[in-house]
Amino acid sequence: MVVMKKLQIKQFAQSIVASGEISNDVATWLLNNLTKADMKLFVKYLALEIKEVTVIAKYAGQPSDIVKNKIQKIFQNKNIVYVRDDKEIGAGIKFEFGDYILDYTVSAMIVKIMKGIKESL
Amino acid sequence: MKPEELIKQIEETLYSVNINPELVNYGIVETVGDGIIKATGLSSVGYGEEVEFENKAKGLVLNLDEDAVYIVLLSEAEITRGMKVSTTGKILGINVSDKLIGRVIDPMCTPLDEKELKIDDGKLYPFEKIAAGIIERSPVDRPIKTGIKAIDSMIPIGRGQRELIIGDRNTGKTAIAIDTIINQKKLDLGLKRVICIYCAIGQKRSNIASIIAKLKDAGAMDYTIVVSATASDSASLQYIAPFAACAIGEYFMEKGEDVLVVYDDLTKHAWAYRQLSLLLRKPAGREAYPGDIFYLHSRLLERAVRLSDKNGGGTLTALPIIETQGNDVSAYIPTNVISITDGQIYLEGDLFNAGVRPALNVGLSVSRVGGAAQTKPMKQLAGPVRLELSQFRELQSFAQFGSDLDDETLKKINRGRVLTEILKQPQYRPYDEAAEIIAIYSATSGCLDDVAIENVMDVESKIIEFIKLNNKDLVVKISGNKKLDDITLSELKNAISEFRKTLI
Repeated sequence: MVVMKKLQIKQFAQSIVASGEISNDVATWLLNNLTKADMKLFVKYLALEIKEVTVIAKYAGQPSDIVKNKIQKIFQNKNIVYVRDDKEIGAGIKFEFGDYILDYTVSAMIVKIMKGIKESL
Repeated sequence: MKPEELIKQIEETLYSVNINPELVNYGIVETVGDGIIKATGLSSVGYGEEVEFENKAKGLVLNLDEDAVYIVLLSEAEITRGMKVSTTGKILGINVSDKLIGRVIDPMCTPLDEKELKIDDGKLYPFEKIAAGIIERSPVDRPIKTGIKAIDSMIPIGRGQRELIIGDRNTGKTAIAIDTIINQKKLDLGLKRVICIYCAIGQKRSNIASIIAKLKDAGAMDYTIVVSATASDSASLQYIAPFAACAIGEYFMEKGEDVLVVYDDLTKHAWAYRQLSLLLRKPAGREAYPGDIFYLHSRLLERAVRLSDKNGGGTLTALPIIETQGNDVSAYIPTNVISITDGQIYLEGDLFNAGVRPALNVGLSVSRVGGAAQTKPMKQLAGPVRLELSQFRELQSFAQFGSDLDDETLKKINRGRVLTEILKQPQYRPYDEAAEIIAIYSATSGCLDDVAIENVMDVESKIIEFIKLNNKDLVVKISGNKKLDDITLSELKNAISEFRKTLI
């Protein structure tokens, strides 16, 4: 078993996400050499790193190629995952990247309007 | 209203709502327990920032770690693992307006008096605020009258001062604070009105209910706000309660008003903060309190201030209360708060049980700045009281050998007994300035030396009644802020003698 420092585990996860893949050899090495606690930490950092480089675009209906190109330009060097969710979104698009949300959906606007009316009543 | 006008109003409301998308920073709840939530994400959250959960519950960020954020839950809500929590960009605060006067609220501004509370013209005041600087302040020079003879004469409190009320349980600490609030109904000495805020921390609901009833009976709720976080509320609410009370006080103070805030009590506040700190895994120090317990109380009490006239001239007077165990003023929290405040009113259980009420220990009680705020007649007449009382205490130990004492010593002991009796006062019966001066003068001038000790209080109240009825000009003279000349003093003495004649 190899005992790794927190920073090393983090850097290891970052390099794997940067390379875009995890080979069988690396996976076997990880399974054989990391302690249970280190493994948990590694998976946590891996998930965080994947979240950092991934943009989840939730939309309703079907976005056109022009819209997709625009999104690609805004989020350069990021993996964009398109998720269709007609029920929640209503119309528009919602981006989730890292620990941020940018909501351009009609449902969010309706919620804001309702909140505004409630406050001014 | 015409239909067109109504439609126009609705349109205006709709257009005024900001619906532009905003970048929201969020996190995911990892663990929940004992009102403390650990969340990941929230990379741009700040210390002390208000956060909002998916179910609209509110939280306060109290610890920032490398990988996680620790949040204290401020409302009773079901928080589950995996729930989203987002930043608000706001420092936790309270929406304050004049509508709060006369109300009973919790620290989150939820009404507790079963009446609707809608603050649409309010101003958001942050719980945590840096206290006014030196340049913005003026020296404390106006009194806040408690209506209690012993305090107003020997331990005077000024507007903008921090005066600690300290003592064991059941020694009358809250009674002094409540009497002070009730006394603000009298607008004597030509002083401005005082907005009173009573902040109950970790107390029993029944106690708070009886205090509110008493304030209502005395008509004091017309200028009082009660902020309550009871023993059954969460530690987080108890922790923010005094800060909420202070924020409300600052609103009125910045409007140029005089404010009195009673923190009842900071011992329980320290307990609540200790509980939170231990749950947040902050390193424990002496008596398991966190290292910043001194800073917690100093930053709260430092906000008591008398602003300069240029800054509106408002004042915020703080009356923190500390409960001691076995009269031990050298414990951790009592010494902390004693060193922060500008004096203390020390109440003793033994005196209380001996019938001396308020059970004030004159030797250990002090007011560091209030003397400057005392009126000239009071300063002139109350000066010898402390000295005579301390001489009495020294000589009292010889009292058991009464037959061996010389006349002078016996006279001093008798005078001390009369003074002790004069300084006794029933609860909820605050005195005005004139009554206090008459009472103190009648004792210090020797006019009551020949009265039997058990009759002193009765005679005193009759003298006050007599002079107020028959010598109105004299009452006006002694209620002013001019030093009493020999003529006025002889008039006062004559008035007392005249009354004594009616007794024969």
